[in-house]
Amino acid sequence: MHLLETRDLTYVYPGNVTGLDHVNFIAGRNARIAVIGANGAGKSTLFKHFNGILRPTSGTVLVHGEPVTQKNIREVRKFVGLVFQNADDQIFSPTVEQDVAFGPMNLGLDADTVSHRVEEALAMVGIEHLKERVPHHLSGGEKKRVAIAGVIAMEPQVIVLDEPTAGLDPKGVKDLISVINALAREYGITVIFSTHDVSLVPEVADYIYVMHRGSFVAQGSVSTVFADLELLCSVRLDVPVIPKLIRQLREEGLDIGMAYTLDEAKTAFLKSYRERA
Amino acid sequence: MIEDLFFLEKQTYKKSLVHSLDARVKIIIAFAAIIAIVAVPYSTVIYTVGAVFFIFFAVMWAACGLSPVVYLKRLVVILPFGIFLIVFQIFFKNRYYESFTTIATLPFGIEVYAESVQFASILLVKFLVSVSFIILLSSTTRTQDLLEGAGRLGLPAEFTLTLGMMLRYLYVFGYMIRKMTQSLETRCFDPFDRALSYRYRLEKVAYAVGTLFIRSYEQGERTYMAMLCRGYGRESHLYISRKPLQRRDWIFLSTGMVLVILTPVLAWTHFITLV
Repeated sequence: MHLLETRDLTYVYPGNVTGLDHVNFIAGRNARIAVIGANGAGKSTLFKHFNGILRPTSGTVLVHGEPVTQKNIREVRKFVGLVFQNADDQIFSPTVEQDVAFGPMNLGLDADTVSHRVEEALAMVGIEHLKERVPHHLSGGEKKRVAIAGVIAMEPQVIVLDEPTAGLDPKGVKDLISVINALAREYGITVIFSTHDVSLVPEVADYIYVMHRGSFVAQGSVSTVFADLELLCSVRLDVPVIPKLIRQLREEGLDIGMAYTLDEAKTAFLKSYRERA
Repeated sequence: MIEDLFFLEKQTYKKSLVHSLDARVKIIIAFAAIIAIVAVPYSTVIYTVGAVFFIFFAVMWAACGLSPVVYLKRLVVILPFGIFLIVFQIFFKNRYYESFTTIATLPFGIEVYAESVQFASILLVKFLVSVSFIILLSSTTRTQDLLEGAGRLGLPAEFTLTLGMMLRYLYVFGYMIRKMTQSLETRCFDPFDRALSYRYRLEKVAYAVGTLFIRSYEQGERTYMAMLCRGYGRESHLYISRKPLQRRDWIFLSTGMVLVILTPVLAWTHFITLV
């Protein structure tokens, strides 16, 4: 049984604008999934279906095998946590501690458990020192981590992040990548995120869905998806710079293995250099 | 105007003995002082009570290390509301005096009464003391601490959650307005620039206000969705952790309360024996 699944999910916005068109999506346990697509491709619309914020025009959303209904909406939102693109949409309490405690409080937990969950969630994203701070004194990256902590505190099995790196500086992106990777690798949480910044995808995803005009036009592993440059260009995306460079070097006749991350590239270049030497 | 919000917040982040007191202690002292001064019967005894309370306030203000200018600036903003009501009292008779002595006659048969002037001065003392303690409280206590303090003192959960969100978005919109103002300034727009037509300036300011209204509506929609995602429901309330009062809080609270209660009681008793 998949943790999260959509079957022929279609959503039509008022005004007869199709947001999603027969989308079939599967997320398994402990997966790291990227949904990539240009602006307006339908990524946020899809994510809002994952925890019942939007209801399908047709098709089904299954969470742990169960369709999302009004009756189980609370359980669904406990199971699938959604982190919004703009942290200011999500952080609405006067202090970081109170905001992270908001979800657990809504689950009806006692004060000691709430306090424990807040401490745990803050520690998981490395912002224990910000506990007493007010949100408007935080940087964009810190706010993003507070937003993630607020969702983690509800102990979901799936975390959905809508454009998590939008508006962050390089250090903020780097910190966030390690948080996302830790969630999947250390805590076994399934992480689904959207982005149109393809360069970070190989660092944080095992599986990719490519979205265009409300439909998936490709899906597969990092190597499968990024091998099709023409397709990515046709949906207003690009290939990360590392595989792009290696592909061009190969076209020039250099014998070098394909790589997608910095570490893979380093290994491939060293191997090629040593073989030539 | 919006910069005043950030200025006020900056004052509350300073470090002093008064700043570091628990918010509950400051809330209780401030409201006790206001209730006590308001409860003093309308008589000249108010001058003695008012003077003692004002000295208490002045000592606290000196201890908090903020400039008197900060107090005066904030007082000037609030004064017109009270002064307007107080000044008008001198032209009217009131139920606290049996006879009235005219001390001046103005055109249109308007008279100024000695007793009404005294009544207005009593109101002024009550107003000044009450406002001063509120200024002290809000200048030395962070907004989130005020809210937590009020919550720990028993403010209903429905209020703390709503007020908490209001405080949070007060600053979000504060920054939004600041950015909008800066973007207008970078394009050389000044709403008070007489070189531009009045209609044009009014139109641009109205656009900015309209944009802010739409953005606040959209923000509300997005925030509500985010709240639903985290299980928001009828039972939702703000998390306020337990925090026992420290020894110095207890000492200050008991000393302050003794002063606030005994001053009007002793002054009134003394006044009665004299009469």
